[in-house]
Amino acid sequence: MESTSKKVTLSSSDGRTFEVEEAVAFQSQTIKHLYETGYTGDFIPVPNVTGDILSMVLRYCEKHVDSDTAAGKESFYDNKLKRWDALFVKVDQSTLFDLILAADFMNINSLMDLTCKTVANMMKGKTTEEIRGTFNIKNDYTPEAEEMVRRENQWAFE
Amino acid sequence: MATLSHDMIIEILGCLSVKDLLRFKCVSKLWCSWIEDPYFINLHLSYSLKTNTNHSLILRHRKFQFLSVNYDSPKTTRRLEQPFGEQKKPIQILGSCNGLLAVEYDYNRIFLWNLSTRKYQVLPSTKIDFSSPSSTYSGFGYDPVSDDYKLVRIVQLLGRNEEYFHSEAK
Repeated sequence: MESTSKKVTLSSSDGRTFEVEEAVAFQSQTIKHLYETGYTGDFIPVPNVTGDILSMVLRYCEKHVDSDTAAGKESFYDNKLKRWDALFVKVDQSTLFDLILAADFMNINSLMDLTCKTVANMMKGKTTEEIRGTFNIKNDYTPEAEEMVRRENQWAFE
Repeated sequence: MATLSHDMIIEILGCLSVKDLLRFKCVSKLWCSWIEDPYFINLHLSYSLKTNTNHSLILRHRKFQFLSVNYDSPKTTRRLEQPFGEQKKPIQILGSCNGLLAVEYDYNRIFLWNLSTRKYQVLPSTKIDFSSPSSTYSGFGYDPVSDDYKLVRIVQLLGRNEEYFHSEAK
């Protein structure tokens, strides 16, 4: 496998560099596209992502490159990977949001799905007040208008 | 903490149950408009179909009632509260599609029932009267051409001659 020996270097927003195999970096469609369109620089800048987050994302990509190879389609391996994913996203909310932003910027679909689903799971059963806190949203309803929307679907609050 | 964009929040909301979504309409006017947006509703439906989530099994319970078993967590079985109250009138499911039920109530009222939002809509009644005995068949489904749901009713007249049938669809 000649592709495994090829390395690329990524540089985070805070100037840290990470050398990884091409296949790992190419889990990011953004980076893959950059190379396919003839990029020849020494570093690939990932300006929106800090070193801490980028190292996590690359760890995720490494794991998923392994699973994409031969054993990837077997369900035993698939379940193992799912367990790994579940542990991977056991992080605080701020890190999780940063991972979503990184997955979006680097265009890594499976990481986007995983992180969004994790946030959705955190939101299950929460009150509207808790959600406003989580997403830093200002309530722009008047008390009367909010009460009206609430009354329309009273059962959802029980 | 980082602020997520509209697209990212829509992606997250797409994974939630309808009950959570209805509650989160109260978070802000903006969230309410996102959740009510037909584009989002379609996205949520296609996500549910793709991932086999938000599935329910509807069972008849005694003569006039239905039970709904939540596939995501089978412990949450609930009795469906009928839109017209708990009257002892015959009720029959004519068909189901994408979480909508077409239901006939008391032989004359047909309504579409969205079990996820618990909202319903009574269809205008179109009576088909025949003097001779007849059988009625119904089918309910989604029509991608008109992007709408359709209920088809077929009435079959039972003629004296067993080999002769006349049918009319409305």
